[in-house]
Formats: sequence, structure tokens, C-alpha cells
Amino acid sequence: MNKRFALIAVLLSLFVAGVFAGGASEEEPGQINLKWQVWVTPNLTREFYASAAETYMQLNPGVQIEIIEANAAGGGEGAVDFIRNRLAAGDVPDIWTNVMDAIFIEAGHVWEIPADDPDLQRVKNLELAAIDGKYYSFVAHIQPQGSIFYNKSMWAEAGLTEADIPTTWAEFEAVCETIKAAGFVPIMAGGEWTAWALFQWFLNAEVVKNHPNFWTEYEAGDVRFSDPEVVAVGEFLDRLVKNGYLIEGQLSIGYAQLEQGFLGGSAVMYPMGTWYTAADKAADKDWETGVFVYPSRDGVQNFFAGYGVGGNTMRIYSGSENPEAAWEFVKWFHMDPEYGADFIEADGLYSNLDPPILYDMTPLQREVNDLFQATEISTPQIIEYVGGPAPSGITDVFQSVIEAIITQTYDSLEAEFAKIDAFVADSM
Amino acid sequence: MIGRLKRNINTIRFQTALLFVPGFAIYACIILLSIVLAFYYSLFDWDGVRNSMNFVGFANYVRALRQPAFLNSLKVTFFFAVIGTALVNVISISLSAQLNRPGNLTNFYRSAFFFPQLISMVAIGFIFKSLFSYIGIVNAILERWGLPLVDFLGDPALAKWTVLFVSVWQITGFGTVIYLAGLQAIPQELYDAAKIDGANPWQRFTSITFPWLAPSLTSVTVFIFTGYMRMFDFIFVLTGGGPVNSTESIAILVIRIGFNQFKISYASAVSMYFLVLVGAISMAMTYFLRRREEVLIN
Repeated sequence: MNKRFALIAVLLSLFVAGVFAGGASEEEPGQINLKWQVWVTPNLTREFYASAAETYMQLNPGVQIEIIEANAAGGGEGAVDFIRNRLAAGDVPDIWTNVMDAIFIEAGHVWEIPADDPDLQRVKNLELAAIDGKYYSFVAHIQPQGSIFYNKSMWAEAGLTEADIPTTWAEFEAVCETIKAAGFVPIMAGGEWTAWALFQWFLNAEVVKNHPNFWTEYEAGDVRFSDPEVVAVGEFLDRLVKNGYLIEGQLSIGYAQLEQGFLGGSAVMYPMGTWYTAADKAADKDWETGVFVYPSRDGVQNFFAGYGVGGNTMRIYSGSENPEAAWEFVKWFHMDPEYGADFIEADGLYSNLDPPILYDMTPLQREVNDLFQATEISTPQIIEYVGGPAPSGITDVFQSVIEAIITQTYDSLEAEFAKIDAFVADSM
Repeated sequence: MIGRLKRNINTIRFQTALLFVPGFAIYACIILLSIVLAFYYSLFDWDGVRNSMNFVGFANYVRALRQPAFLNSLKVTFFFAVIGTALVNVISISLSAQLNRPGNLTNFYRSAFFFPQLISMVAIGFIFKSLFSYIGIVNAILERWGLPLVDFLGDPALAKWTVLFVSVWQITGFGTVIYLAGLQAIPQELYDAAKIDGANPWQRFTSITFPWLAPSLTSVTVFIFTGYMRMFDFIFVLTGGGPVNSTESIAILVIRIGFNQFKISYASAVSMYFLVLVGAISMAMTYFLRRREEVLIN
């Protein structure tokens, strides 16, 4: 065997060793290892999660927590893709954050929380977090999304008062007309995910309000997107577009530009989830922000929210070796006065526990909270679990329909809404 | 026996094969295995999450042909591939002809035109998105000049041309370098002889330059065309396939149905169509362009 061959053999061995080497972690006897997939955003930093894990480990010396980061850059799908890939690789974190899709529950990958857990009973409206009567998420906080923020200075300049805050579509359109006549852009709306979000927000306000078990009813054939009452939402949005109430060029305005646009006074009203309140708090501006609930056709309002499936909710992997330990950590994280409060404050969330976890709210955040408490109806969102799970990826077809309305490139609204029915039929 | 083994081991052929193994193993694991797995999954109804799946035969292939979204994505993909390839070729040949002339700034221009090729497609996408957004820099300039604003990315009719423009801007540098190398390989004597024979610039281009650029044309056309067929990054960043699916290429569609909608098997079937389509077109193009090269050069 010559030297050249020996060198090749060594290189090959190194290659094979490198490819197939495993990273088995060592575990001390009695030690519990937990892998926590966290959702890192500009507000919820890795350092914040690391500090929480460190504190918990100090309080519970037998528990070791490893943080695994999923990045928020890609939106919610980023965490979903992350977990799906980990499932395929067989290396799945024990605790998942912001993995919203019901498909993981249907596939049996999510641990069922014991229904008789006393801490679970602290959750308000617990039944809204149930999926087929079972609990898979600790809905310690909710993310209200049925909010339209407005610039109080521009509102007043347009000649509007608090008495003009609309509750019906007709009133909303009248307000838009007044604002437009005053020379302002009535609604700040954008492209990317905010386009389908706007569409589904108006659907929640009108359709889900009337069909609180929407997807169960859909499966039974009692409701369809092509039904006149649903198409009416499209007709309402179509009027907003035709009358020029939405900011021009909205589809090429990204989320960051959208928020900056509203903060910069480009439009009077800004339909957005309550996480906006965190940005409002940080903004350097000389005007106050107001908020009202989405209008509906008949004026009965629905302050819809992410219940248990959105807003950084955590779940536990059913294949975890220590699901009970993971559950104890999840409860501690949400109920700890320091970390629980910091967590919901950073993402503009609201405690859904009784008694609630409180943080120092801005006047706007308090206004949202009061409004949420005062609004009688609050449903989950149509893209989530409303009596049953929404088909995965339904936002794709929502996006296509709202883009057709915004660009006025549709043949008929009935045909556009029938596309949603076709998508659902293909997915169910 | 051992002696024969030692003799075999010491042969260059054996050692070459041994060196070939790691590269092929990586290629087989990443590319070939993926293709085989994609075909396998396309025959089931797997969502990528469940542990079980049902065999459905070629139902996903039939389903794709019935979906308007698939047919639309084919149309969009061919729009980018055909027009993009033509534009890149025309602009690259023209630029390379200019850059083949001696001049003080020639080297600078050569680098400048190639520079976009060095930037990540995603980074370019974000840069152009901030330029072409409705409230972006280009519209700010138009507004300052008193011109009407243009919705480059939000108008379905304009968005695909905007994506095409950005892609051509980036890819042209590659084509220019290949054509420049081709131009520099043409013997000067041919041009001198043609001039003596009284050939005008257009005749010199059609009779000498273009035929001699045939191998470059083959490389650039096949490379750019297949690149456009696979194009994902620019579209994903600039428009996400919208508005109203006007820029939704096959690659975007596959990602959307596979990863947004959890239809991994269906997405695999679309991918297999895509694979066959790109493979068949690139082989056919290579065959015809090579034959053309032989005809032109002879």
C-alpha cells in the first residue's frame, strides 16, 4: 500500500466519520433534559428566553433546558417548517412555540394536557381552547386582533368625534368618506401577509360572529364561502377599494412600511392586531392613538382573537420523554410574575388567566384591554380552529381573492369566493 | 488473492474511483435520493406530518393537470424563461461587443457589469423591493418630477415585468462574461480578411461574430433558460407569487402547496412534472443548439 493510498484512506475515513458521527447527549442519572424551541423576535430575544431557562434551572436543579431557536423572519410558517423538519429528522424539541397548525394535533404529535390540572382551570373561556374536547395548549394569554387603530389628531382634523366611531359597515363607510373628503387617506393597508389578514379579519367580524362553529358547520354543508352572507364581506371590501378608501399601491407595501406609514401619518385608520400597541409605545410621535372594534353589517361586534393557536402559544411534543416536566416548565414560564408578564408585554398580548398576569400598560393597551372585556362576543379566527380546524394554507386562497378585489381583476365576486370553496373541497 | 488486491489498489483507475466516491455519495444523497423520494411520495397522499399515508397511484399527477394554479404557474414560468432568456442573450451580446473594445474604462465596466452576479439573489430582491415599492425610492423620484406613481409590484400586469427586469439586471453579467470570452477567442484575421473583402459591420457580425459565438450561445441559453425555469428567490422576495398569482412560477407553487398547505405528495407530483419538463427542454435545447453550432462553424 503506497503513501498516496494511505492518505486517501485517511481522508475517506474522516469523511465517513464526519457524515455519520452522531451527537448523543450525555444525561446524568435522574436529570431531566428538555429542549425548548423558542420564537425569537426583535422584542422576544434569545437572551430573554435564556434568562428564563436559567432561572428555572436554578429553581429546579434536576432540570436541564436547551434552547433551540426558530427565527421569526419567515412569519409563523417558520416555526411550523422548523418542527416539521425536526419531526422528519427524528430530533424533536419537547416544547414548541408558535406552531399553530392543527395538523400536528390531528397527526398525534401534540401532548394532551390533563384536563383536571388545577392550573389549566385558571384559563378563562377554557372551552374556546378545546379541540374535540381536549386541551393541547396552555392558553395563558390571548392575542386580540379585532382592532382598528386610528390617529386621534387626524380623526379630529377630519371633523370626526368619538361619537363617530363606527359599529356598522354603513357607519364605517361614512367615516371613510368624511376622512377622504378632508384630504386624508382613510385606511392604511398593506401587501404580503397583511393582505390576507385584512380579508380574514373582516370575515371574522361578520361571518365567524354568526357562525361560531364555522368549520363544523362547513363540514356539515350548512355554510359556504359562496353563500351571499359571506360574499357580502367581499362586496363591502370591494366598495372600500372602489371608493378609494385604502391607501394606493397597498399590495407593494410591506408590513414594516405599513406600520411606519401609519406612525408617520400616511393614513387615519390602521386595521392591525394588538401587537401594534408595543410599536405604538416605542414610537416617537406627537399624537395619540385610539382604537375601536371591527364594524359589522348589523353593528353587533366581535373582538376576535388568537385563542390557543396563535400568539406564541406553547405546545408539548407527544413523543417527549418528559412531557410532565415540560408542562411544569410551560406553566411556570407563563405564570411567573416576572417572565410571564415580560413575555406578554413584549408581544402586546393579554393575560387570559384568572387572576391575570399584569404588566405596566400604556393608555392604549389599557383601552384595548377595556374594549376587549366590554365586547360581548369574542371568537377565534377563521384561519385557526373554529369548531374544527381550518384547512392548512387557506391563507393562500384568501390572499388571491383579496388581491383580485384590490386590483379589481375579478370576473365576479361570487366566482372569487367559489375559489375558496374549491380550495377547501380539495383540502378536506 | 491478497497480492491481486494490492495490485488493484495501486492502480490509478482504482484510486480515481475511490476519490470519486465521496462526491458521488453526496450527490446521490442530496440529489438522486431526493428525486427518488419525491417520486415515491408523489404516489401517496402524505401531508409531511402524519406517520401514515395511503397509496393513491398517479392521482396527484391527474389532480395537477386539473388545477388552474398548476397551469397558470406553467404559463408564468415559460413567460420568465422565454422572454428572460431572449433578453439576457440580446443584452449580453451587445454589452460584450462593447466591452471587447480597448478603452481606459473597459476593465472597470467588465467588473461593474459582472458585479450583480456576485450579490445574493435574496439581497437583490430586498434592494429592488425597497426601490419599486409603491412608497419606494423610484416612486419618490417620479413624484418629485411631477410624474404619476407606478405600482410596479402591486399591479398584476406590471409585477411580472418588474420581476423580469430585476432578474435580467442580475443575470446579464454572467451572459456578458461568457460572450466576452467567446469574442476574445475569435481570430482577428477573420475580421481583417472580411474588411478587405468589403464586409460592413453587420455582415461581419452575422458572418463571423455570431457563428463563432455559437458555443457561448449554447451555454448561456441552456444555463439561463433552466435557471429561469427554476427561479424562486426573486419572486419570493419581490412578490411572493402575487398579485393574483401573476408571478407564481412552478417553484413558488411547489413550495406553497408543499409547505403552506401541507400537501407534500401533491407538491412532489408537481415537482416531478417540473423535473421532466426542465430535463426534456434542456436536453432538447442542448441537442439543437449543438447541431446549430456544427452547421454554423462548418
